[in-house]
Amino acid sequence: MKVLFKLILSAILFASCNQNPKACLELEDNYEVGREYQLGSCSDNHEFITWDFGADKNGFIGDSVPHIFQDVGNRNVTIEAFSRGAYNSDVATQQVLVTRRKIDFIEIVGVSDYTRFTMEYESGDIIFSENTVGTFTDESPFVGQIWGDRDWVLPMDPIAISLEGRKNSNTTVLINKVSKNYRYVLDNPSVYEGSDIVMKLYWRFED
Amino acid sequence: MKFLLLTLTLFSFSAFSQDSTRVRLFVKGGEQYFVRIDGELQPQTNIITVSQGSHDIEIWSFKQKLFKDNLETGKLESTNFFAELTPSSEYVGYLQRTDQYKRKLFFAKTAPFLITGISLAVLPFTTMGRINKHEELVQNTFLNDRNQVPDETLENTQLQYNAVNTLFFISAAGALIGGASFFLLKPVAKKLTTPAFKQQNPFTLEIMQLTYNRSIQSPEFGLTLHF
Repeated sequence: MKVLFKLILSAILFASCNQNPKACLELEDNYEVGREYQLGSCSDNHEFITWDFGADKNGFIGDSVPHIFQDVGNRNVTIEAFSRGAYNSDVATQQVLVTRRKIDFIEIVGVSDYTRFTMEYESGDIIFSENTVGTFTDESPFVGQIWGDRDWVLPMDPIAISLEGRKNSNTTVLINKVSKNYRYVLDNPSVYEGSDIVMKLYWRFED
Repeated sequence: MKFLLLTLTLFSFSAFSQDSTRVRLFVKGGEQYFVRIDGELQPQTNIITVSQGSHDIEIWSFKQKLFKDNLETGKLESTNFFAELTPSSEYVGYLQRTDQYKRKLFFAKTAPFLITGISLAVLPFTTMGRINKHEELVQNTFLNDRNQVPDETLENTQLQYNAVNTLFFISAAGALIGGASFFLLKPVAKKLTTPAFKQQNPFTLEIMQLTYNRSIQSPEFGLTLHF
């Protein structure tokens, strides 16, 4: 019977050793609308975590969950870390900005005697006609401002971009319809290489 | 003359043999019994030979009352004698005390031990079941709030949780109450005196004893011989 008593005591002590869960979130400040993210947490001592994404009604359960933010705006991401048995829990909330990526500016590196550059994409084109002639290096590239002049949101579908140079009435294709899917491309800048010229496309999140 | 003597001898033998009666005893109520006829202890057999006529017969068996009667053989060569032994009042009292003792021992020791043992054996399973079902309930409630799990599934999980929760509390209460009762009633169980039944064989004067062995939970027989 003494052994039995010791067993009961050990079981109670073991059960009481269960530590409280600690919820922790370290998310990015900005997330792009429409993109699928795999979100993780830095929580401790938990058995499972529930994820709530505010206005996006669907919730998830898991340590790491996939999520696509559907709308632009501020979102509260709330996680609740539960202990074994879900009798104890801890909550952590973080506000993130769900936004879009827009092209900020482009840089062109190479030797140019063109009087204007035309960047073409599916839904339009952008023309740069000032200071286009010269030898442009990484340190001193040609810079063409887009943000403010054009509202060019990076799409979630593949997009083909071309760059043309114009001298007098002759047009030369410098970069010919290079297709990229910005759903998966997160490089900043995104580099497009032609035979003699390199174009770098810089983006930033919309405020 | 020789023939006459032989005939007389045979007649006298047959006359002698017809003076005794073989009695077959049918005794009900005792496994092993002792028989005394006219104060003389008989061999332990159910067939005895007595002289024809009337005899005092006494039959005794352990746990039974002493049976006394008159054996009338008449002129029969053989006869049957039926006797029904009845339990002695002391033995009946012993049986009642044993029942009472067993009942008290059950409530003071066996029942708390069984309740504690069974509850403790079941408790890990009910605990695990309760933990798992509560996790499932919390998860389904979370998903139901967001219309990702139907109400029926949530209700079903709630019912399952209630069932395992009840089982958990029953087993936990059983372990606690059983354990506490075991320790609290331990002095009571210790104080219980084992009933004993002692009876002296009125013919041989040896003492026979019946006690209750609590470890094997069955009666124990003892015999004290007097020389």
